[in-house]
Parts: sequence; C-alpha cells; structure tokens
Amino acid sequence: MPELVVENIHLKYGAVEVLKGASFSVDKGQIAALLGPSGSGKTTLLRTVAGLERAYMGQITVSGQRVLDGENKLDMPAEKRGLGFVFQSYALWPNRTVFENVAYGLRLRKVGEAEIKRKVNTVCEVLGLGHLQQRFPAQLSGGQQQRVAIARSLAYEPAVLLLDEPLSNLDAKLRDEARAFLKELITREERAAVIVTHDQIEALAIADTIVLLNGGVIAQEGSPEDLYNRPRTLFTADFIGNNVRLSGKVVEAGDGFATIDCNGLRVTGRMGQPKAPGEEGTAVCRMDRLSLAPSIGPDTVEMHRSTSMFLGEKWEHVFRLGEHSLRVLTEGPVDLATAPIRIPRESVWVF
Amino acid sequence: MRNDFWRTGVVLAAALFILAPVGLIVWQSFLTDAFFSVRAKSTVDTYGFVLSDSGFWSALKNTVILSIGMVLFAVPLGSLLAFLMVRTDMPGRKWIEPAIFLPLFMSPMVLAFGYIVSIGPSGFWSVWWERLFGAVPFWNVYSMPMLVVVVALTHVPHVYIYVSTALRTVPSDLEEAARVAGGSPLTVATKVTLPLVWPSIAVSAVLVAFLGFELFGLPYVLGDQDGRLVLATYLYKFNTLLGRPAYQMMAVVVIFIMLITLPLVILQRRMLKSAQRYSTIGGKATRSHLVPLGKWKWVAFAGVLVWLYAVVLLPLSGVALRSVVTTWGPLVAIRDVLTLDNYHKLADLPLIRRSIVNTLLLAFVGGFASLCVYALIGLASHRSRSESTKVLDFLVLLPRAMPGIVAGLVVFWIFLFVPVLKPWVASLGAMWVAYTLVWLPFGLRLVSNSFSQVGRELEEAAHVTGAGQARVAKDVILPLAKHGLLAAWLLSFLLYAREYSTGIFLMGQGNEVMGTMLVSLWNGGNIDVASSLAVVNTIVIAGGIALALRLGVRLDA
Repeated sequence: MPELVVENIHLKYGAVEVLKGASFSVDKGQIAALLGPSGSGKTTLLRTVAGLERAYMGQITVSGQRVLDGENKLDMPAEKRGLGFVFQSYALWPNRTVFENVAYGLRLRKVGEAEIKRKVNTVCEVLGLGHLQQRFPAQLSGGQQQRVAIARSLAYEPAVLLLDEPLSNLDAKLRDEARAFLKELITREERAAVIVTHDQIEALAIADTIVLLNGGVIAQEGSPEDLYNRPRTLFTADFIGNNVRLSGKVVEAGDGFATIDCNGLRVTGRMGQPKAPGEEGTAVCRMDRLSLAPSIGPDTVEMHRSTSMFLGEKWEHVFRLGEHSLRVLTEGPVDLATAPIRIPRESVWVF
Repeated sequence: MRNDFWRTGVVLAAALFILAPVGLIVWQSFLTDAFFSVRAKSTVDTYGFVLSDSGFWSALKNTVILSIGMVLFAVPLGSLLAFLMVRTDMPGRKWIEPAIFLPLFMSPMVLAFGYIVSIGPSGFWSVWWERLFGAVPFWNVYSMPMLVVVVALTHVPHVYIYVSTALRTVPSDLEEAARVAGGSPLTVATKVTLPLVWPSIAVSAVLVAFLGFELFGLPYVLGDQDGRLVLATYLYKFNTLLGRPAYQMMAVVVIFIMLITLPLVILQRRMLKSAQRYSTIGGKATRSHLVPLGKWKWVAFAGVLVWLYAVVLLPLSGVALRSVVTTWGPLVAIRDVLTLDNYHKLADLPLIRRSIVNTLLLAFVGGFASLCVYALIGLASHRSRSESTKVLDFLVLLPRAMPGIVAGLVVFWIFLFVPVLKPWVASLGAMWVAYTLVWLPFGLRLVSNSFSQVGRELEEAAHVTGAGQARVAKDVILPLAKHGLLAAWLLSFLLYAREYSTGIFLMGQGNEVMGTMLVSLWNGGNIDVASSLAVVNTIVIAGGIALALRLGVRLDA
C-alpha cells in the first residue's frame, strides 16, 4: 500500500469550490509533484493533506491510518497527523536557534534530552548545518534557512514529507543544487514526499510522479516522461514544455496523425484525441524541437525571418508566415531571408 | 474531532461578561425599585418619568451642544495639526509629538481642576490678569462657551491620531505627481492629500461626537456649579438626588445614553472598515517630501504652541502652583503662602495614601491581569472562522458604547445581584472587573493586532510539527507577540492610572483610587489636597508615557 493515499478531495472557500475531487498516491521513497498554474489548488491540496485546510469530502490515509474521512466525520488536526511540512516561507521561528527549531518536534514528543541532541546532530550533519546549530534564523542565508526548514521537518522522522514550493525563494544557481540534493535526500531517507511547484522544469526533474492540477481537478497524473511525451489533454500538452499554439482546420487525419492548416501554415502532429478532416483543431508544438531544414521536405514549412537575437549560447530567430510567428534556435547566425522550418511531427500534438 | 470547545467556551464567557451587565440594565429599567428590593414591580413608567423631566432634556441638549461643538472645533484643528506635523516643515515637530499625547492620557479631572485654579474666578491667571490690566477677566470658566472650548481643545489629539496615521500612509509620490503636473503646495494639499484622508477625518468626527456623550469630568467640574448637567452628570445626580440611589431612573438614563452611543459606535466601525479599504498602504515606506511653509511655518508653530499652552501648560501650571500654596486669592502674594504641607497630607491621610497605592496596584498588577483576560479572549478568536467569534466581534461594541461611569455602575449592580460576589462589592477586585469591562474593546483590539502580526505559517509550522493549540499559543504566538503585549500592558497602565469615572459607584472603604478620590475631594471642596494628588497622578502618567516612548511603544494605538 502506498505511504500516502489521497482520494476524492473536495474543498470550498465560502461558496467557491477550490478542489473538486483530487486524488493521488505516493509510495515510500518516491516524490510526487503537484504541478499546475496559479489558482489550480495545488497548495490548497497540500495543506489539506497536512490538516491545515478542512475538506468537506474525501479520504486521506497516511501509513495505513485514516486521517481524514469525510463520510465518517473524521478530520484529525494537523498536530495528530505526524507529517513533515516545509513551508514556502520556511516559517522558521525567529526567536529560536537552529538547534531549537529542529529539536521542537522531538521535544513535543517528549524525547529525552540526550536523544534529542543526538538526533538533531545527525539530521543537521546530513543537511550540512552542523556548525550553525546555535545561530538564529535571521543570521542564515536563504539556502541555509531552507535546509533548516527541511531538517526541522525530518527530525522527528515523519513517514510523509510535504513541501510547498521549497525552492522558489532560492536564486537560480542555488535552486539547481538544492533540487538535486533534495531528490537524493528523500530517496536515501526513504520518505514519501509531495512537493508543490508551479515550475514544470523543477517538477520534471525532481518527481517520480507528476500530478498536474487544473481548476481543482487532476488533469493528468503520471511519470514525467508520460506527461511530456504522452499528454492526454490540450491543457497538459500546452502546460508542459515551452510551446507554441496554432489553431486551424484539420485537413488530413489518419494513422494516429493529423494535419491542420492554419491560414497556410500546415503542421502535422500526433492526435491527442480522434479528429476528422474539416474539424477545428489546435496544434501544440514544442518550441525547442523546431529547427532549420536544409531543404523543403516532410514536416517543413517555408517561412520569412523577421529578426534574430544573440542569446549567448545560441541564436534565436523569429520566423513569420502570415500572422503566425515561430521562434527557432540555431547554433550560429543565419542570414537567409526565408528558410524551410522543420516542425517534427513527434513533437506536435493536435487536439 | 478538532478540539474547538475551549474557543467556544472562552467566547461564551466573554459574551456573558458583556451581556450580563446590559441585561441587568434593561431589566432594572422596567422595575419600580432597585432590582434587589422586595417591593420592586415591573413598570414602564420610569421611562415616562425621565422623558417628562425637564432636567433630562436640558442635559441632553447640553450634551448635544458639547458633542457638536467638539466636532466643529476639534476635527478641523486636529486635522490641521496632523497635516502640520506629518506633511510640513514646521519647526519643533520632534518634541511636539509626545506633548500632543499628554492631554490624551491626562485625567480630565486634573485638567478640570487645572482650569478652575488657573482661570477660575480667583485662579492664578485670573488674578494676574486683574493685576496687570486692572479689570476683571472677560472670560467665565463656568460658562457654556468656555466648556465647549475646553472639551474641544482637549479632544484635538483624538482627531490627530486618526488623521496623522492616515496621512502617513499617503505615498508622497501621489503628491509629487500633482506637483509635477503644476499644482502649488496648497492646491496639492487640498485637492490631492485631503480627499485621500477624508475617510479618516470622518471616522474621527464620529469618534469625537461619541466621546462627547461620554464626557463626565470636565462638565462635572466646570458645569455643575451653575447646575448645568450633561447626560453623564445627570445620571450621577440620581445617586443622591432622591435621598437614596434611584436605580430604576439611572437604568433608564443609561439606556437612553446607549441608544445614542451604540449607533455612533456601529457607524464608526463601519466607516473605519471602509476607510481601511480605501487606504493607499503600499508596503514600501516612502520618504515623504515635506511641504515647505516658508515664513508661515512660524505662524503654524506659534499656533501649535498656543494650543499646547491651553491644554497642557495652563491647567498643569495651575494645579502645580496650587499644590504648593496654602491659599490663593486676589490679595495673596505667592511667597507668603508657599508650603509643602499638601504633599505631607498625601502621606498622612490614610485614605489618600491608600488611593495612591491602590491606583498603582490596579494599574500595574490589574492592568496585567486584564491583559491576560484580553489575551485569552484574543487567542480564542485568533484565526477562528467560527460564527461565535463573529458574534463576539460585534458584542464588544456594547462595552465600547458604555461610558466608564455606566460600566462602573453595572458592575456595582452585578456584585449586588450575585450573592457570592456581594461581600466584594466595594473591593479593589470589583474595581478591576469594571476597568476590565470598560477597556475590553480597546484591549482586545491591541491584543488581536499583535497576534495577527505573527506569521500564519509560523503557527502552522508548529501545528504540523505536532503542537496542539495550547502549545502553539505558548511556544509561538505569545513569545512572538511579546512586544505588542508589553505595549498593551503599558497602555492599560496609563489608562487605568487615569481612570476616574468608572470607580465612582464602586468606591468604598479601602478600594479608593486616585481618579475617584479626586472626584470626592472636589465634592468636599478640598482643593489643596486635590491639587497635590492631581500632581502625583500626572507624574505617574507622565512617567508611564516616558517609559512608553523609551521602549518605542506607539501611543496612538
């Protein structure tokens, strides 16, 4: 049985239904990412799991124990659920030292003083905070604060760790390091972790399972590769990856692929749902898969270059056809006025 | 599953604490005699009696005049003062600021004494005026216009607090935009700044109007001699007027007072909420650019000094001088009558000595105890979305609408009414209960404000770590709200040390406090001792203010 099972959560703020039946589960040693645009209810869902928001319907099971059961009016308060939670703001108590912050959960569990010292030491060592135990949170850098927050939630060894955008307050370089560190830590410590993020790159990189939320319901759940390569809805296809959307009429369909015509710009891609010629359709193209083709061939379109920009590693060119524009990356400069653009059909989805 | 019973329990207890007095008043108002009397029968005649009493109507008229007078004078003056202090380069702003708060915390009884001994018929300044100009002064301290001027001037700080707070939140780039667009400083002030603070000015106007109905000390001392009553003094008269206290009459008067004050309080709350909605708080503190007044700044400065002289120096110099002379009159030279006897008497008279000790005890220990009560209620409603908290939020308007003298009266009744409490009716404990009731809305607001400044996630972090509500309060909320709570304690100290009207009906053998002692010394005509006690009272309060400023406590909470 998975360590954390969340089923059919419904939650209202006043009259507004924020969660409309969200379900997911996480196994031991795995990380699930709750991903979605702002307002999709991902943080609310995480807070409901923690017991900080009150759902009116649904079930939550932690390590085989029911902590929420809408039908039986069971709603355990946060302090009884025994979970670890890392807040976006870290929420370190400013009046306590790092040691006292980390030790708090153990003190509440009436652990002996020597044991507390040992456990805090261990977890601080693991997180590289050994020498900072007597500091106050205000004396730490952002990255250190984040690690204290994680240490605090790990110290009392909860089976499930919940993290609310833990990396969003770090600068870009630190974020990459922290991401790798977090993934390693959770796998090694054998926790089940749920991480909320609005950053798809982060979700793709860190998660074993991605739970994509849209408007309080789960749009798609699966492995990162699943979501990236096999989107089932237009929302998923468009949300994951850096895309361009083209709308037009389906002119050809069959064999799992469809071609749509958008005022002269023809693109072929996988059908996300059955399509017939004559229907309206939308194509989602992965921007980073576009390239300059040496000559006109299958999956290519002749377009006009309107401007080019030097980005350092690469060049970015804006190509136009009619009212449509595409951005194409190349290794070197391009001075052609028109060029064939290849839009590979494996990287296009038609809905 | 979630344990919210204690919250409901605390809220219910608070509701009982608020509603019991109100219920008792209503019940008493429909009886023919005191509620504990066996002869008491139910009746509505008392209402008719009060309504047909010309004294009631004249008291009501005077109160309305005072209230309107306060709005007409105090609101423009307070707003102007706020503008000068916050938005202009008027000199001396730094040291004027604390001086503005002095009239706010000074006992109205002290102020009233001060005016009598300074500019009364044989007051110091009157006598000096006569010696200087050889004519009787043109003013009469006991006249109605004088009373209006005095109450209006002493309530300028109330307006100042609201308007200056609002002015500080107006980002100066709004004004700068208008200046760049070609507006002169005056145009900008009237066309840009003023409209932005209008809501706060309106709120302060309602507040001042409401305070007009609460007035007791100033009209009691300055108006009583001519038999000019206001509602609060009219109420007080019923204690002795008919030979024995006419509780049913008093209850009816209280109901009439609250029928006026309650709508004002509700109105003020509404306006305050919408004013907050329109406030332009941006989060970043912009350094405001001051409007240069040119040579007018000295005119403004002089104006503020005249006001400060009128509300602080004039009355205080009076009581201070009066406290060190044996007697004073037209033919007396100061050096012949100088004495410290009045201060010796403070120590010698057990009654007075006790009142000083009691006041300090009540203000310091009692203030802390009240703070604990407020903190408990505050914790019960903290981050609670339950209906009972919303009800409580509304219920606290009732004590807010209750003038101190009324709260003292009903607590007195409650102690008479409840058999277990009866032996304690004239104790310091009863006094404390009344004080706690009177300042409940204010204290609760202070406490809730400091609680809500504790980050929500800091509390939630403790919850998920495994702490129940009590532990979260003890380990997170209270330690982090410490500074705000300390400030609230200090403010209660100041308010309790100043309080005089609440204890009037509760005062008995042994629980005298300075404020009520001043009232009874005035009743007994004992001006010498009253003056020295007034000086001591003012010193205690000034000490409190100095400590507050030292600790960085904002007095305009």
